[in-house]
Amino acid sequence: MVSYWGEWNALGAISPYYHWSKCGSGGEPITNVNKTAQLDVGFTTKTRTVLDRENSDSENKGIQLESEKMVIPPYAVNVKHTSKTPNDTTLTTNIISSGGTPDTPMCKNTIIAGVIDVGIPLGHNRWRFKDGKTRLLYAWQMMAPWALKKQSHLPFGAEFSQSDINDLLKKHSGKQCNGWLNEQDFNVDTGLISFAHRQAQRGAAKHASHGAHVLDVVAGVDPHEEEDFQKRVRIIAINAPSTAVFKAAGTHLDAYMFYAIQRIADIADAVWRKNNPNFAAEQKDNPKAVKGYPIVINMSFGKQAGSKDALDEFPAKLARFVRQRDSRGWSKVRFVMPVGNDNLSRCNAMLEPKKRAVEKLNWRILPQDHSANYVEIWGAGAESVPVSISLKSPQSDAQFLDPPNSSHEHQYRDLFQDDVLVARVYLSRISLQPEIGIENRNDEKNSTRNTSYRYVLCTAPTHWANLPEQKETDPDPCCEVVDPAATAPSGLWEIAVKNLSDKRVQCVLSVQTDQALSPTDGVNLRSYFDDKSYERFGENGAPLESYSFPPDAKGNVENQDIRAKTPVRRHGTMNASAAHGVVARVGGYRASDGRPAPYSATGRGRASGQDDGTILGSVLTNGRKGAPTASFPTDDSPAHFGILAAGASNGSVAAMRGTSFASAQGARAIINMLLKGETPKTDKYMLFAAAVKAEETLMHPTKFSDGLIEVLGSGRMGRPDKQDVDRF
Amino acid sequence: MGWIGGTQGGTQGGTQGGTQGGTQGGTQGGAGDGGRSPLLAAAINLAHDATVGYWDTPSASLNTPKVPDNSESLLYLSAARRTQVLLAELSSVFVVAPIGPKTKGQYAGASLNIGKTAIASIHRQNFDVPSQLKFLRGYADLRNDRLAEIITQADDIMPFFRAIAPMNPWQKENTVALLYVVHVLTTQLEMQIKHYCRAPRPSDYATQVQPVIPTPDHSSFPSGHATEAMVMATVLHFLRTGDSIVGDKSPVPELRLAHRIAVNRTVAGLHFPVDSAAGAVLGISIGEAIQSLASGGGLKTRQYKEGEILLNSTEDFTLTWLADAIKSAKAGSNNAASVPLFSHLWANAIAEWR
Repeated sequence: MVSYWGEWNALGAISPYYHWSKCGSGGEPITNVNKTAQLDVGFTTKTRTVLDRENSDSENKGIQLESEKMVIPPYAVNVKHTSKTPNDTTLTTNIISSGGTPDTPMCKNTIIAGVIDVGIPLGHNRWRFKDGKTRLLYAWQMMAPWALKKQSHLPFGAEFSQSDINDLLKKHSGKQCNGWLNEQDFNVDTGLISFAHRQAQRGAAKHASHGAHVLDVVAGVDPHEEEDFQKRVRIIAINAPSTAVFKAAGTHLDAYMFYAIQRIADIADAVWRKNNPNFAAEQKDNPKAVKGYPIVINMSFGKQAGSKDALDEFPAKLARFVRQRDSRGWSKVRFVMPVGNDNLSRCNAMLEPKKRAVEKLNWRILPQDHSANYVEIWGAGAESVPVSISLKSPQSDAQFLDPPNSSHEHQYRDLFQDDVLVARVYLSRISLQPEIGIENRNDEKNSTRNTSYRYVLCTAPTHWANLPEQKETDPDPCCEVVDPAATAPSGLWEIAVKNLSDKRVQCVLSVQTDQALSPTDGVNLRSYFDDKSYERFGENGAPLESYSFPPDAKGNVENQDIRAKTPVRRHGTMNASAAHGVVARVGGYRASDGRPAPYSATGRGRASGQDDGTILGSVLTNGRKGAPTASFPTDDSPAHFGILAAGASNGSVAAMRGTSFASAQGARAIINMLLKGETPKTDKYMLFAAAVKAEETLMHPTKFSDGLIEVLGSGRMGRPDKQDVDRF
Repeated sequence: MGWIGGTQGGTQGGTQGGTQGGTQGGTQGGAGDGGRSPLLAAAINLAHDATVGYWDTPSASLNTPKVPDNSESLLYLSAARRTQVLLAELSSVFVVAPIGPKTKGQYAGASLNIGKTAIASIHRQNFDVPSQLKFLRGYADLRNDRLAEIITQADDIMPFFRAIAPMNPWQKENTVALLYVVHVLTTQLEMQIKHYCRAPRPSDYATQVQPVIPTPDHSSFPSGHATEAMVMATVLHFLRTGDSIVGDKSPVPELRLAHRIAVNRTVAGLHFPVDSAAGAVLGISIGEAIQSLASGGGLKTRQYKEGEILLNSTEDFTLTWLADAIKSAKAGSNNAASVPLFSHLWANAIAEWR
């Protein structure tokens, strides 16, 4: 077997993930990804300018997306939509009935619960009033067939107003809102499920769906109870694509999230405007009055690898969005996200080679893996990149790839084995401007770091799922590469980092998220760092968590990442989408004994390196956060897993586990505080202070002397939504 | 004799025995339970010789057995024998005939007739296989969720109907016996119809289907499970409430369950949606005909064919489609057939519910 590296090539401003997925063996770009439409993402807040007639501030365009390609299944895309598509002049009539208000009147002190998730059944009785009408103001079914409603203003999918949903509820309930709902046909008519399209979602046709569970925790109630909650908490739901669409590594996730966030804000603001026509006059009496309903958005998504601070593209854009709303006097949007479930996934490592030294780490890539694998390596860099790396396959020799002296921001090199492209290394110099309003810790010197380097190591799948002859008959955006011979060897790959500078440097390595390629497929296998010094199990055979348990009499526990001498760490597994100060980050714990949930990701902790065991520590600048904000129970019984909430069908209940459902509880807790009129001035997440108080007052079975902030946040809060029975 | 044992095994063996288990167990059990032990025969013979003495037949006093009226009550028979008689009575009324002419050696379909009325005509459907296979792919995603249902419903769907309306041989003996007879009758009829409509299974077209349970030997079209489930739903709902499952109201629980049982076969990889559509029409027609025969009243006719009731190739078998499709029944001839023995059982079954 002959292995060799190509030369450095320049790459435009394009995501390595997108670039790698576009190219097949030999580097030939695939011009037709199975006929999937690709659009320039230019969806701006044109709807806002329609309504905001008195202030057509052209600078304020909400979340502006750079020209970024999205991959959208053919049945969902509006092929005629471009960034120049005319404004949505029908927004008000789409969303609000001709009487000027939604079907069910809005309260003045309404709170908007925005939920972006997968598989939210719009007709579920937990988000309906007792007369059967929906509490949803609006829903955007992103992956509904566009032909379902042919809404020209939408780039993809179909949207439903409250009255649309009520009409469909009647249609499928024997002509009355309160009858038995034929849920499967309702879900087909609302574009939520389809059995006719391979990539379509079907989660809501199963017993449990992620979206149903999350929305129930965020804003679900029994229709015959909590009337005040029902009236005041109105819901905007965005049914996002599944991983089949935004790809295993979350390549296109952010774009869909931005669309969703912008749409939630636009709809909420439009409804507010219709219901507050005299605001301008009222504002004269109260100049500090804020426009719009307060909005709490839960996004139970995330990608593991990234810069893990607010300089990453995703949080940077969220921060900009928040800042722009604040500057224009609009209501706050509070984001809540999970820290992720990667604590024990061996997906996070730190290498700190001394000057001119080399450090190595094994990366195990599994056989029969249908998806590409990625590792990101981040570090601080000024003018030059201080490290070179080597990526050695099980069948090749090590070769260090010295960073090129080039003005190009992004470059890549290819690894060939027997003339087949099996891997690629991307190098980017990333200079980002810190967003105004991103917190920095006051005691950090040189607090602004705005230049980083990022290596992205990509390997081909070790097994191909789709054969070339299927390409024409089975259009599938998941079919990324044509050549079935272009598989990478499975086994132990070796990553080596060589320090080119005269002082010790720190490199943070993360294995990127790797989710199912298509609904229910379990054939993509996540790679991991395989270091012999990493201890997975304790002497009693139980998996080792971030800390030892039980605590001693004084509540002390042992930090497993300090004890073991390995670069692979549980500390630092908080996913990049949430590891920053723009969102409230929520982890999970076990209600039975108060211990952190073993899978709940751990932050890096204190800057000095005391928690993650590094020599150079972590720098809490540019909005980086070393811990969750708070934690909620994600396993509430000693004998059963997960927590109970709505199943996909009316009247059903399902147990689901993970920090996604902790995040949903965090959103609910914030909503509860807003309902009580609690808006602490200094706590923009609102959870921090509440979590501190809860930790002091709730009778947790286990108390920790140190609080275990990196994994439990500022405290363990109780489940905020009403539970009728204890689970034991 | 197998189905005598089938009666016992099926009814009492319940979930595990089912129809197949009952048949096998009955054949073997019948021989033993029928009291045909050689040892016993020899012992009785010996006891006879020892105790009867001289038998002077002309002068011996005789009993005067009372012969009951030749009424419709079959209570004097064992459950197994009762079922034999009822099934024979019903089978003499329902007649399956092929619909011709043949094209390329295949019949156009099959009709199910009572007298001169074709209560259901199932025409072979030329559908676009790739369009229907998309649904096989889509529904396959639900396999993990529904494995328990798929496996248990493969052999016995009655426990699911019993979950809606509790029935057992002691409290609703007539209903249980009636439903069993109806189920066996349906199976006999549907197998004949399947033969005349013989069509390949989804896995015959594509290796990717890989059904999670063994593919049966009979035709894919129409679906037997859809047929049987809809018969059960139609009959049971009428027994329970006196109402038809056809109408403008929300689908009743029996119909929802029957639909789910049918769809589970697509989830399992055994049927196209069009198979279930045709089976559902057939099953509801059979159920209504049974009701009409038993309680008097006119027959209805339905045709599953182009221009009448048909699920298009690109369509899915949904409750909405079904609810609309089954409304379109035409009146047939007045019911001239008579099934007095079955009608007697029917009346007793109704009395158990109302």
